[in-house]
Amino acid sequence: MDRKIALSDYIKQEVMRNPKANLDDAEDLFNAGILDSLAILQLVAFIEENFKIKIPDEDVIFENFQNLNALASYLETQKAAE
Amino acid sequence: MDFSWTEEQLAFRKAVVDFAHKELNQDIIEEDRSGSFSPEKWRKCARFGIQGLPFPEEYGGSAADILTTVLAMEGLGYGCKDNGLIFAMNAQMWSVQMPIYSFGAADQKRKYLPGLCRGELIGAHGMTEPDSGSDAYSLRTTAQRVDGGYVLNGSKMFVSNAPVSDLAVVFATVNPARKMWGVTGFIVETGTPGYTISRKLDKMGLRTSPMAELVFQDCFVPEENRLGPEGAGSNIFNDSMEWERSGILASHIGAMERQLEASIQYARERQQFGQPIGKFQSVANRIVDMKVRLETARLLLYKVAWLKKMGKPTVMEAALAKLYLSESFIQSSLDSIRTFGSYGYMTEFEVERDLRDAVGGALYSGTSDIQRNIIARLLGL
Ligand SMILES: Cc1cc2nc3c(=O)[nH]c(=O)nc-3n(C[C@H](O)[C@H](O)[C@H](O)COP(=O)(O)OP(=O)(O)OC[C@H]3O[C@@H](n4cnc5c(N)ncnc54)[C@H](O)[C@@H]3O)c2cc1C
Repeated sequence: MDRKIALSDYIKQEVMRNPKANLDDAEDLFNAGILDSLAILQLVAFIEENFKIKIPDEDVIFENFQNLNALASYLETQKAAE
Repeated sequence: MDFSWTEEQLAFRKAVVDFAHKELNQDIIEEDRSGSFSPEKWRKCARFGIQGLPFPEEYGGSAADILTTVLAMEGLGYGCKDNGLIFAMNAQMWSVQMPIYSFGAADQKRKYLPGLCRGELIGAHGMTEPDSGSDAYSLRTTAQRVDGGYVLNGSKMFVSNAPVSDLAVVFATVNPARKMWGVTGFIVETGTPGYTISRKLDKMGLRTSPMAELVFQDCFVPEENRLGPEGAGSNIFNDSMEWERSGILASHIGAMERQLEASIQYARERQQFGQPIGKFQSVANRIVDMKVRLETARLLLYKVAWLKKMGKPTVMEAALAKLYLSESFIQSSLDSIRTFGSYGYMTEFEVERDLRDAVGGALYSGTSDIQRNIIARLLGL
């Protein structure tokens, strides 16, 4: 499955707790109040477990997690680096 | 599943216990009463290798893996009755040394880690502020970017080791609008103009671990003292808290084992109504509960350490362990006092001090309420 879709489904299901929620790929996940510090940890664990991509601590920054587009492109660079 | 330790690990734990019995248990009543930190004991621990345990040899450490480190900290909690000293070392190891090691630039590691491991430098960690505790990322200390570095303004509260510290890892925001993503770590050296360590705070327990407030007034910190990238502070902080929980809690296991053994011995010796008090079921059951608590707590802790060794996420397990172990240590301390009766309430018996020391565990590194919040969220509630 497309990674962005998997991420979107996970956030809707586990973070927003509303599988039917509208979540635009460009929506700012922080300003919209969707991701807080604990949700980030959950999301990182989900990515590491499901996509088998290790996210170094120093990469957990705003620019990489701001929205689904940013996260998906960041993950592409990580996958390519492996 | 293998629950055994190697011969070497057990021998090392025993060496830590013997060292603690011999070197660390003098004058604690007086130091606790006067709220005095012992630089001598601190240096002895460093010489023995405690502060450097999990850090590589090139930085003055002994490169022990996390499980061995946890076992050694457990041995320290068992052998050393000075919970404050152990707390102070844990505060430095996990929330000063570990973030510098994990996130620091090569120069920062070379500059600070050997001195911290060898006991020549003492480090503090400043996150909490007068108006932000559990809601740590609502901090107000700002770091304004200027030519060559940053200017820090604000204050930090309840900072362990501050009165005796040579440096502090502190968190400030470079962009308050970005909330947690503006939080950035800095290494600030004592003596930096604009940085003051204010009055020493008097407290209920852990009195041999000194605490103070940090104040930053137009304090210039050079760029090379920023820890990690801008905005990575919240992640650095989270990482430190996870490590700190494992290390401090390991010592609690040792302390609870010490309390259990002392309670058993006392319950066998103390006679009332013509028999040892341990023969009374109420007393025996209380001691049995101490044992159950100790063993369940131990399993939770070892699981966190094992997960960390495997490089797996420990968010849920670390929260479970923090909640359960800190509350268990409070209960175990209270149970010890009940078993010792009024002798346990007397300072000279060194039973009551554990209770005062234990209470802080339900507050620092995230209160018990916050741990419950984390667990509830991860349970999908
Ligand atoms: C011995 C000791 C050593 C310390 N060392 C350091 C140190 O070295 N560096 C440092 O930066 N800090 C340190 N601290 C500070 C410590 O981390 C904070 O005190 C702690 O995070 C709690 O913050 P607070 O005291 O402001 O309480 P508050 O956050 O104001 O909480 C007050 C009460 O409200 C509850 N509460 C708050 N929010 C919630 C919520 N969302 N849900 C449910 N309940 C909630 C809390 O559980 C608590 O019962 C230390 C504290 C102690 C006791």
